[in-house]
Amino acid sequence: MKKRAITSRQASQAAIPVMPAIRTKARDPDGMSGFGASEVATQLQTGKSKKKGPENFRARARPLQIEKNRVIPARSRAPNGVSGFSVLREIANRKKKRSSMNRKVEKFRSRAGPLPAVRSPAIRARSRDPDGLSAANVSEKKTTERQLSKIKEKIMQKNQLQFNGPVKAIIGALALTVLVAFGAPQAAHASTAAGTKLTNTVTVDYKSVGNVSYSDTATVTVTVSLVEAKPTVAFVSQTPVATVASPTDENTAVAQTYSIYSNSNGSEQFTINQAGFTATNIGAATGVTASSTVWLGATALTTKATASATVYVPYDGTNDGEILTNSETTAGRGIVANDYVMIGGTKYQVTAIDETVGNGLAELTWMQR
Amino acid sequence: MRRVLSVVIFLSFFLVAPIAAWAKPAIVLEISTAKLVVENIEGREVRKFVPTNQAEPGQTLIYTIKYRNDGDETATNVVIDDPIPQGMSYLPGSASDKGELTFSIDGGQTYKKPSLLTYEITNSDGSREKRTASPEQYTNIRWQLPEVAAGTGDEVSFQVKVK
Repeated sequence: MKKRAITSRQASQAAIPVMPAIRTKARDPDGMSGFGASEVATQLQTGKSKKKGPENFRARARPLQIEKNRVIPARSRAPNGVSGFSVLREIANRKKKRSSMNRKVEKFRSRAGPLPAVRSPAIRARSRDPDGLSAANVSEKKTTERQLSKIKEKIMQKNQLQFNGPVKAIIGALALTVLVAFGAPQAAHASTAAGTKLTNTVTVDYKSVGNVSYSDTATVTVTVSLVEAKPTVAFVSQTPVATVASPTDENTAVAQTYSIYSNSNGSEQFTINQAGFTATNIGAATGVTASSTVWLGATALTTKATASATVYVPYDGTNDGEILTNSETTAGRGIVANDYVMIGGTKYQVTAIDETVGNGLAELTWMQR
Repeated sequence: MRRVLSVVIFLSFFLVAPIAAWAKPAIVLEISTAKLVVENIEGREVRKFVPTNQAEPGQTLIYTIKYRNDGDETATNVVIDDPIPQGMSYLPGSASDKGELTFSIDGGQTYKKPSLLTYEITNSDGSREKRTASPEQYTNIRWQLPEVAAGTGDEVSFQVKVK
């Protein structure tokens, strides 16, 4: 057997039915296996089929050439990936169904008898049928048309499944991807400040049988209490900076700065003690020189913290440039300009406070540090 | 005789009519708060709600709403609407499944079932994206009851977490 490649056009014109199993194996554009393609090529060249005896292959093929002058697109051009032969078969099937439908309609038309000379009102109504069918045939025609439309619908549905199936699958996969990619929960917010009053007012609306409206309410208030928490203490800097290469000179004072941040939701007092200090080859340390106690507080934000922003916090009722937390009433224990605040582990410095904005709020401007 | 009967009927109308006019439903509401307390009793974890008016951040609270129709007529189209207080977030699945239960994410302007509560955001490229609201975004809870008969009552509840 002489092996030779076959073009899609040649195979289409030959109109050799190709089994689906062969199509899946095929590398040929029309879905033929290497064996099938070379065999057809040989048949086209010699005009003989080696398998089926002396019968000329072209003679067998010609009667099947119902689309003689039309080149069936190669497999890759078909939207659902079918071969040219499958498209050809589908066209033939549809033609067959169409002609079957036409035959049925013609049959009904032929049954229609001439209209009687004297028309009853009912017949007059029926005589409006554009095909001129008799009364009995009109209803029969309608029934058949319904059946035919159902058949058409089924064919269309089948086509949609064939052609749109893969597309729908891809859209489904994308939707899933979108859900997975964009479905992450939002970041948690800071805790509610101590002393905040959370009021819940429930309302009931109802009607009487006579459709008169009534209403009633009930209220309960919960106060957020202080939750004490261990503060965060961290080393910040030392002045002058001492290194191995450049140690601090003797008889020189060294200042070490530490930061302390409250992790509670309200005002708390912290006592700073010097503990665990060991003096080696140096004189006695002076220890903590600043205040040994510090008040730290917390408040609630009405907007999300950003790097540099103006936010609003509950107003403490006194326009004095200091924002006291909800549980604190003593001046000097609140937030003032140049204080640092921590939100979610990020440090911000308060640059300005405005307590005249109204609506029970104070404006607080800060910058990330 | 007929005249006497007419007079009796006429007078009866004036006696009964005011009584009928007085009949009306009167639903009384009560709301209470309790906090979830977990105790270890003889090696077993016991969870119970204790009435309170104080709460700590992270604590679970239960709001119980009792309603009772003290009137002498059935109340119809009963709608119980409870805004979730700011500083609290609704715990999913905790609301009593009574009547038609819906939620709002726009402060009570519209109410829908949780699966239908969606909102749109604008991405940086200008495209719009629809998202399903999470329970933390719920602002209101609503129970709709067809009717509450006179002299009857019940309760609904839901749980929140203090932020």
